Amino acid sequence: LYVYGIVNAASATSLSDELQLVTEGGLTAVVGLVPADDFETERLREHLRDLEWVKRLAVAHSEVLDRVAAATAVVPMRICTVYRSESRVREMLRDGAVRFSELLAQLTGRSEWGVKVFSVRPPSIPEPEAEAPQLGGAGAAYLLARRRERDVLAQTDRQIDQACEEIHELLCAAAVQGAVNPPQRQTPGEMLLNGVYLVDDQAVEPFREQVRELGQRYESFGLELVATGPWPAYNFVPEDVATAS
Amino acid sequence: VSTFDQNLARSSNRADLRPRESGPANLADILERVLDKGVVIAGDIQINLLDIELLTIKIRLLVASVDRAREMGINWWEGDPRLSARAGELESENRELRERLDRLERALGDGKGEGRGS
Repeated sequence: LYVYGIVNAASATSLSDELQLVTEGGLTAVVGLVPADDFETERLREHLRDLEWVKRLAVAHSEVLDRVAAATAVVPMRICTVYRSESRVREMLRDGAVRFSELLAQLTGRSEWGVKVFSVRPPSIPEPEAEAPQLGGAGAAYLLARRRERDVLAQTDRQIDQACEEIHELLCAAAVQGAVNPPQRQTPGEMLLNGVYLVDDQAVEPFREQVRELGQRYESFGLELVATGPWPAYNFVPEDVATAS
Repeated sequence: VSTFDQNLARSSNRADLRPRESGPANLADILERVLDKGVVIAGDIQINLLDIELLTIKIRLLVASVDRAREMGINWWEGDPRLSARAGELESENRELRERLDRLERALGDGKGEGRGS
């Protein structure tokens, strides 16, 4: 049995009856029957070398969890969490009961939102101030111009760093919890901030309003803010819980 | 047809999904969340740590560039897989180091004594 995630048994009734469930005590695992062969060590090793297989599995995993999260709070499990029997799943639910319940209590009524900050164009750089009377020759003027250019660039870099810090701080303030992931590479525009935030359902609109407002505030810096969500709380589940270990 | 494909087919035509704002990097976002936390094979499966390490490296690349990774996937596993995985990672690390060196050299050559770290 492949385990997608864990929900409170009380709220499992709101889940689509297309989903397969295993309930033990107060917790319910959302599971799927997968061919045991596919997850035997040798076959799995082969599968994991097949990027298409891994990608399809990841997307399916995420789609199932989206459906669950749309109905109730869920602890998303890591991809490839597989148990050999229903009784092993029950055992896992019993062993992890306290931590799963605590975490579900924290996640109830909340969802994860991602906000990425991109540098989409060069910042608008202010025109240099009126030239001071020049004392040196052409060489000195050149050096002066280069130095000014460098100072302006360094200053702009600092401003952009500060802007990103401020954006993250303000978004954390609008959220229950926030964290920063490494920027994704190979994106259109350089990604400067890859933030994730756990947001109260009631606070989603103010949170998104904050994102829009920050986007406008820093437009002249060449920054663009992109929000995605709601996501299951992938980034707010400790590793030992997500792997039921 | 695997269970995953069935789940996928079912879920993609459901109307009760809360809409997610689609961004250009949506697939990358999914992969990042589902795979990039460092891969752990959990539950009852036993799998060699080396395989997992390898998968983690591969997935970083996949998240880095969904399209480019697809191209890489074509010959990724020809020859010694561990070797090519390392080679890919070393190559990008080298490139990053070279770029940093360039930046540092530019900064140094440009005005000594006032260098400001970046």
